[in-house]
Amino acid sequence: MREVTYDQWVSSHQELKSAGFVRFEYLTANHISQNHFEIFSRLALDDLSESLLVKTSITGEIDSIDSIYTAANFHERELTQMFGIQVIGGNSNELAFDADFEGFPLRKDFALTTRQETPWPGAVEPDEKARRRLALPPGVFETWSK
Amino acid sequence: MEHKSIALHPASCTSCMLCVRECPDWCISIDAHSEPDLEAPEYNNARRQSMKNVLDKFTINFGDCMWCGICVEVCPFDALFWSQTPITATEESNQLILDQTQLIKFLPGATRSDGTSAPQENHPPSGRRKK
Repeated sequence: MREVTYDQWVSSHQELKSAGFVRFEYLTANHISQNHFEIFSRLALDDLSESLLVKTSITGEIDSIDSIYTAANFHERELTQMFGIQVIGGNSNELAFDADFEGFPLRKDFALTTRQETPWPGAVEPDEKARRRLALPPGVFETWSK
Repeated sequence: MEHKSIALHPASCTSCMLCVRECPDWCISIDAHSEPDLEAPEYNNARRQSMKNVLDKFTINFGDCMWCGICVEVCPFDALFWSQTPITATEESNQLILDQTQLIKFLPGATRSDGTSAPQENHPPSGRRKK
């Protein structure tokens, strides 16, 4: 894995492409908190004998690498819609869903509607008298309730 | 060891709800009630009747299940096992919700992750429940 700073993102990809990493496999992000994300891209040699993960940390925006790897275009549009990351200099057309969709589904604070609407099966207690404390579903936050 | 489905040995299940609460997909559900445990040892200083949970219905929705195996790992009474019987395709999605009468049929050849084999349908509770 190669960790780069935000301003080296484009130049390091340029460098790696000329070093033989001509295959672009994927680009994805990891939501850390608020406006803070980790961005990963995986590149491989032409014969797939070696692959490399490039990682950077950003706050809200990233420079586009689609002039280096055309395949990155789809992934960057996905980042825009799924995480709300601004890709500077990329194609900004919607990819996954219409522009009027509200929220960013892969952010950690995105409320999952099925989790809000489905009753949690773990709330059942066979012996009500033996209940020590109220069991709450893990991963469902109070802020999600309508 | 193959992980094709999850088998249940209902006699071992104490309806402790651990698997239901740990399941990340919420695909397990248990219906149970409690009743006086007549086999419990009698204590002189007991202030109330010993109770035990009785399992009425145990279902796994294999349409939601992602085969993570957390339920098998978390079961403290050795009631859940990895089975080698695959889930068959169905016409309706709700037919993938299998209850204990169907899950018990997955027991032949089923194992836990450490390789211990599952008790069969007519066997007594497998493990730690009766100790």
